[in-house]
Amino acid sequence: MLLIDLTPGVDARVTGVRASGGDSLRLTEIGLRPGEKVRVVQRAGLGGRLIALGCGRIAVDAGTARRIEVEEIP
Amino acid sequence: MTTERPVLIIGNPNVGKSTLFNTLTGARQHTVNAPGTTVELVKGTWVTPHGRFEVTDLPGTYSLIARSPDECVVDDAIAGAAPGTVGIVVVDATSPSRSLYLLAQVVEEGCPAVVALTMNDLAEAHHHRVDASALSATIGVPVVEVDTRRRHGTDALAEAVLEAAAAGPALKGLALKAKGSGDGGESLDDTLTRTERLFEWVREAAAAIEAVPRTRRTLSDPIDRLLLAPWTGIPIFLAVAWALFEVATRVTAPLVHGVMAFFSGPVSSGGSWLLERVGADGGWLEGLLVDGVILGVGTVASFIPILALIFAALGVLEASGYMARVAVVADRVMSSMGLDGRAVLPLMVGFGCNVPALAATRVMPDARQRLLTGLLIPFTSCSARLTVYIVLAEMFFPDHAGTAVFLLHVLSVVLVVAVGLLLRGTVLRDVRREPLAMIMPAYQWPLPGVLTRSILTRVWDFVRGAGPIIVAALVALWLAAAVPVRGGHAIGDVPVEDSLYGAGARGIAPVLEPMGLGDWHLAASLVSGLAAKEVTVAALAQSYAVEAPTGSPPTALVERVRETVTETSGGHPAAAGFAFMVLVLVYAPCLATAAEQRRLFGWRWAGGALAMHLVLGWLLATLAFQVGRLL
Repeated sequence: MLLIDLTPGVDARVTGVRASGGDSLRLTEIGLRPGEKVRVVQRAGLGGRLIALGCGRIAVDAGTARRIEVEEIP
Repeated sequence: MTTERPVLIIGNPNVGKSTLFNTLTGARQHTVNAPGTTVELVKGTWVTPHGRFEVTDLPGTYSLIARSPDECVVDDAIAGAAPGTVGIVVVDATSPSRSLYLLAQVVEEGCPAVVALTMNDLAEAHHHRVDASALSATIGVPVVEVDTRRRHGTDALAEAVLEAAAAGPALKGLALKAKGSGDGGESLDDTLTRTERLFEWVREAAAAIEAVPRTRRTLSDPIDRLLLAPWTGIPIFLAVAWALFEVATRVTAPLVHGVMAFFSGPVSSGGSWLLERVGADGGWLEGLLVDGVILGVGTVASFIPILALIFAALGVLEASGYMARVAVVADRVMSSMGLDGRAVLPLMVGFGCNVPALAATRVMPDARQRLLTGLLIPFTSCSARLTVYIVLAEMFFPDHAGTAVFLLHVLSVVLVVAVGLLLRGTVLRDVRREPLAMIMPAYQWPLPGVLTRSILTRVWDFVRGAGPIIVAALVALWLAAAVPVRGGHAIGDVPVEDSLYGAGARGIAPVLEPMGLGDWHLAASLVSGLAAKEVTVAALAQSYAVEAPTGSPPTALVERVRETVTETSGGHPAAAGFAFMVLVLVYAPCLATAAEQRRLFGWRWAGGALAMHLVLGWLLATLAFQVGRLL
């Protein structure tokens, strides 16, 4: 599933980033790498998402949230 | 060691980099532009028990694989660092992995590094404390825990810098590639392979110090629930933007008037008194001093309260962590123009005053975006222009003055959007909007000492950078008005009509004919309006040698201007009057705005901006008149 479809409060693991080369590199550089555990803390602004990565927080716009693939951790 | 050892402070945005810089250097700091760019660097001297270090605070970045001009500056500074340079890499204890990745890149570039570990108090609050000695043992570079809020650890950091300089660039567990093997000409695939190695190293280092993050609630979460959620976040953001606008206008107005009154009162009489003492009063010298130099210095000084308060407000928004949220909340609106969400704030401030608005562009981390916003700001209709519209609207549309003034503000917004699109389609085609993916720093209380120092540094930058141009231009304007070109008057005692300034206005007048405004009085008022938009009306009055209007009943000025415009417009005074208002909005940024554009973006961009305004102002005013005449 895509990050944008993840229910806030549910833990998930990043499985892939579908952005073009440079954009995908920046996402991995700031910590959104396959294998990392993430959780949507809340919906932000107009369509964006606030994501928890450990005790750090990353905000992404809706477009970016549609490019990050995740799977829920049961 | 006699020369100062160069030290670079490197770190992700919002990890306490600038706070560390301020703690180390105190008041001994100044700003410079990175070579060949408009990216500002702050440099300072750090006095340590081991000698003096010359510290440069580099722009915040997540990576040395640069994605913006500001990130390029960081990469260039590290790649081109003088031998003996040490990088202090600020590592945020709440998410060490991200900072360790940057550390690995810095060392791979061949720069010896030490780690300044910050935010450990915050990490501790989340039961996530990073052990400095364990980290140092794992990665093989000195790690010093620094508490910038309490100034702990700075001497140990200085020692570590010397230790790293002696040891050279090295990281435990990472074989370094030869310097220069990266970047230039490297394909994306090679870059990805190279970074994958670094990520692997970071993963192992993080696992070794047990810094693999567990998802936790933080104290910032409930605040974000309020400030980022659409239903509450957007109204709060609008309130903050409105408050900034108020600071640029209503709040600072009494201070600005106070400063101006001080210069036109005590300072001017003091100057006259001094000249009287040396027997040089009453002549052109007194005019030059009082109406040229002192007026100029007073004009520069009058911007100080506005700038100081705007910098204070922006500083609080940045240090508290709210500025990062602005980028998120306003993202949708500004991204359609190719701009960072944070561009909203300088543009809002612009409707109060363009000068602090330009200074406020620094809240955006990308130099090209700062430039684009800085070129759009003069199209925001500032409150000085409003005072001119009101008089002109009362003159030409006594029954619809409000509507006319409102239309000009609509035009102002339309121009910001249209010129933005025009610039992005032509000279600023490289302005890119990165997809939004931003670290949200934890909310914090701003440190008053750090805030005060940065306000003082930035206000001084304006005074030093834009001040001389403003003073010189006002002196030149005074000289033009003081030099007679006919009538045999003495210098400094010339009716406007017979001065060089009057002759210049006569020369310009024919250019204004297509908009029904071909008259030297009107041209003269526009020339004076370049100095400051609000003096347009007073200059108009002066050219007719009548009093400026003070109330609503038609004064001599209103009648004289109406007479003139009725004649120049061939019987269409309303159309020409509206064209005049359009011209006041568009024809040029005021002198202080142009001087600030020059300071921030250089002569070429400031000159180009002026040309754009003159051409666009002429075209739009002509269009307004020619269309209005047919209605």
